[in-house]
Amino acid sequence: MIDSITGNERKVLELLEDATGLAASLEELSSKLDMKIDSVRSLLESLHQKEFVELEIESVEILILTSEGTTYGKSGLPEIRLVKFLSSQKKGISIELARRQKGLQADTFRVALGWARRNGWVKVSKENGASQLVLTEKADDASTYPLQDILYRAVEYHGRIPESLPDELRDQLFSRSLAVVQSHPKLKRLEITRAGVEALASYQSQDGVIGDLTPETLKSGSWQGARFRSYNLSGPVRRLYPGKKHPYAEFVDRVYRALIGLGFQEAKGPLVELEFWNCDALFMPQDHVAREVHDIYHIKTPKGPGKIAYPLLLQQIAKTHEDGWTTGSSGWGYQYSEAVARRLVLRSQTTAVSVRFLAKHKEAPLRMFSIDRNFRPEKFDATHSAEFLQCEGIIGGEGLTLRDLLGYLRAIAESVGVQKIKFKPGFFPFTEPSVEGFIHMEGRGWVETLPGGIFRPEVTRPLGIDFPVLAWGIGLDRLAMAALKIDDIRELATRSLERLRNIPLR
Amino acid sequence: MIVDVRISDLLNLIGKQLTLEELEENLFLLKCELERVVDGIATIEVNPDRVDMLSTEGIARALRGFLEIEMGVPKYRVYSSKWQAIVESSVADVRPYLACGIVRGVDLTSDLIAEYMQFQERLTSTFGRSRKKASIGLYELDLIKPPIYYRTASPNAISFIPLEGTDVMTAKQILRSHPKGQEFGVILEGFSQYPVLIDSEGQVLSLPPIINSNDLGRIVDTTRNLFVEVTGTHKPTTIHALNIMIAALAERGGRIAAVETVYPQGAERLPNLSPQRRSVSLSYVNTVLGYQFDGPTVAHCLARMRMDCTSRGDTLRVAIPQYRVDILHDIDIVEDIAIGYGFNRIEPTLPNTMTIGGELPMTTLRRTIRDLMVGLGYQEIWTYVLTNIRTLFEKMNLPPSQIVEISNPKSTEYHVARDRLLPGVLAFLGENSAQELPQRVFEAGDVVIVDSKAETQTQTLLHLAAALVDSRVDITKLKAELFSFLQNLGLTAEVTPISNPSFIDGRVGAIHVAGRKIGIIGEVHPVVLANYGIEAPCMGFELEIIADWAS
Repeated sequence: MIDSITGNERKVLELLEDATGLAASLEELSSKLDMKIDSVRSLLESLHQKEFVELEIESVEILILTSEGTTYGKSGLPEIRLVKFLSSQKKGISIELARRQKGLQADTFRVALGWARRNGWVKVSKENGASQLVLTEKADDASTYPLQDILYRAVEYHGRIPESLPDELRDQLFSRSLAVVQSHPKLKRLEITRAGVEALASYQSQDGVIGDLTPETLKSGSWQGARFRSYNLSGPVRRLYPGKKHPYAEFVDRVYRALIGLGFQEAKGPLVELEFWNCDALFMPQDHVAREVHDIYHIKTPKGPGKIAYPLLLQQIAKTHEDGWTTGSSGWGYQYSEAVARRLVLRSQTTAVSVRFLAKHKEAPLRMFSIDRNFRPEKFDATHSAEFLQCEGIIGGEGLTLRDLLGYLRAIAESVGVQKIKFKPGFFPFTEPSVEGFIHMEGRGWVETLPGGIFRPEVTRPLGIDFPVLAWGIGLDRLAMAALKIDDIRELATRSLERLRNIPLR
Repeated sequence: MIVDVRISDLLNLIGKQLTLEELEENLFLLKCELERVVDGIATIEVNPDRVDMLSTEGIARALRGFLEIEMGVPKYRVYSSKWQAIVESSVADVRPYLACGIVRGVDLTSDLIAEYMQFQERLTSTFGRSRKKASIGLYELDLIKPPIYYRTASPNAISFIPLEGTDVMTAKQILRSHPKGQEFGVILEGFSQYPVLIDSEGQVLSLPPIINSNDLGRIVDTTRNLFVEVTGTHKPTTIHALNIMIAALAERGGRIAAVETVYPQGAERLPNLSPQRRSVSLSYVNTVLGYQFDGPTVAHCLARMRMDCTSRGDTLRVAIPQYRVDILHDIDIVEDIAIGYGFNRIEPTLPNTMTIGGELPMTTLRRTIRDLMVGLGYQEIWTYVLTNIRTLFEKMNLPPSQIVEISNPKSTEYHVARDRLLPGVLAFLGENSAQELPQRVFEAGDVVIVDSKAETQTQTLLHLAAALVDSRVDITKLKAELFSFLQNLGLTAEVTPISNPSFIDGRVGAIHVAGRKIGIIGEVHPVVLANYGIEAPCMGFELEIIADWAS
């Protein structure tokens, strides 16, 4: 059994339903219902108790006219009235005469003259020993006096003064006691509930007018011959925020689809990585500059050392670093340290995932990709990020060549929507030959985004792989920035809910 | 590595007028990038493997080959001299290696002197590993009285006026108060004796690898004859650094003379600029490149790269300039052939191999989770893995627990890896408290937890966190959403009351699935709300996405 509603409550509910739940101000409701604000408020409280509306009223501080302010809002400020009077005179007039003028009221004359002079509208000139009041050129300003304007508008608006006022005007209102601060009820939330809609419907059907159709109405057939109330479909509606995926995550999903379509199998690796996988297995000597503190985040806790689950591989990589082992390389000619290999770092390149994959998968042909976060010691700013998303892949198979590498790079670029690409030789410690793919971005020119290469024999041989392995990577951040039209890299992980709510999904 | 060169100087050395576009294009194909040109100075990025190109001379030398102005291995004649440098056994523990050479008849200008100093810095900072492996010194030859002695002495016994200085300082004072001493002193840390280079009259050349003497080491534009020394801890690096430096100095017409370095075990004459030799199989080259090049074609490509090559059958005999220190393997020759051929001429091919693509089961599951959360009306957010202790613990009203912490953070905002997502989600909501209510957000992402038994002493796990801010919240409604979420994954859950200082007592519970505790749900405590700046009631949950669910 639902609570019944009164006629006035019905008016409120209808109004709310009509506006599709749009919360109005108490003043607006009061004028639409032609009721006093207090009555509207008690109606709302009653409806809220019956759970027909969701209601929240908060108390806000507003500026409201004093009786003096209201008077001036209706008949004009004294100084304005003085200027009006003077401009109606053909010539200057003595102070005494002006003071006695009926419309100016003796008690406010001092105020009127004070402000009119302070504003530079009126000056006092001596003529034949008598003080004369004369309008200046600036007297025209009186017709657009902001303070007067505020008062006029406040009177129209139930004595309320708009909240955003320049400090100067605010100070004037207070110092002349034209306005005071008052606490005022404000609707924070007002919404008709489901129960409210039903109550309204049942009230209306008593009238023979159908609001919401109900299963009962349909079953009984009582709708036949009844009148359907019409709803306002052309009015404004409340903004809703559906659940949405993050634009960067959506972009990454598109890259996933593209690479899976190209026959790549996904792999993943840990974010905290051993230097062994992050660097050693990639033939980066242990004193390589890119392994120092300004290029890789080293881990304080847990303090390591980690474990290398591939003792034979460790041995072969150590030999390769020292003298080239059987790879045909001269190696780096230094004493390899297992302790360094077992240190922990935050992964600085997804290539670590590629070599981990190769340690387990040695059968050709193979295609692997990984999309994941990597880290490097940078401060976050518009163009730098300590955390970045890389998409990396390898293609292994008998007979693969440098020309094939360029072919794949072009195909990968095309699959993620890049049309123009050009190549230059590049350098990476773990690939030879190495190549850098530059893609053409509208408004940015050629941007280096697609590095690649053939893994060096010093990388593949210790892993027990004899076929060529082509490796490539895409810096997804830059690609996403172009696709999402973002200029600041930090915006990829935007901190603005408003932006996420407003961004269109295309 | 960035190298600034004067364009007019570069073009003079190349011996051909090039437009900027031509220069840019050729540098691009030679693995370099012309980044910008300002006031006649070109800023060129050189890849770190080509340390021989860290000077104007080196870049010009490479471009002369590439532009076919002068091809093949550059010829450097090394004259003999009576100069000797004597290495005493005492340096063996500190900095054992020395390599010296002479260049006579150089024509110096102040621009050039500045460039040589920069070149020397670049070479020692990269190739020399910030002077640790090798450091270089240049001196006015005519002021030195040979032979040179390389020995150690006590830090108080070494004294001289450091370069650009006016007062005599001891080695001990230099390490304590001279800028170079403070910067590089760490290399000599822990040694009671420091290395020193002196001449036969006891004049100090330098305190390697810290600083040279101002008396002998100050090069001016009237200097015509140079003495170059390299000391180091790695012999090949020491010798290579000398070769690269001397070859660059000789590019402007200087005459090179050798110095005999005498070790207790024997002597050697340096620099040795005769080419390195390597045999490479032609079929190997073609297998890697995907072409059917013949011997002469390969030889032409290599000549553009300043190498010589003769072929017989499948064997290529390649002569490589001494200054090329990046040739470790035949594959490095193959790359030079490709560059010499021109990356702009290589036609891409696409082999017709078939592989089946696919994603990991966890990736599919993660997408499903996100779909469900979006269906429940939550906005996905994306935050960083890197965060700080305040966000993870203090603001959550929790005592700190073990977590992955970085030893070299760049800022205190980002110095640990998150082990949970909810603190980041709450921080996000706090920053958006001015936005319209209700706010419903979620994040599905990786967290890192410490696990001493694991290979990396950590585990990377997938978590899901969601939170809701509204003018009124009801934890039982959130529980209903959580349960419907799990039901759609085919899982049944149980929530048992617990106590947790991040949440209001009596409104927080542990989430159990299949008898395993996988997460937490609760209404956030007002203290925590205040910490994050959230101005309305808030509730949330976080759970681990278990790998088993994916299979």
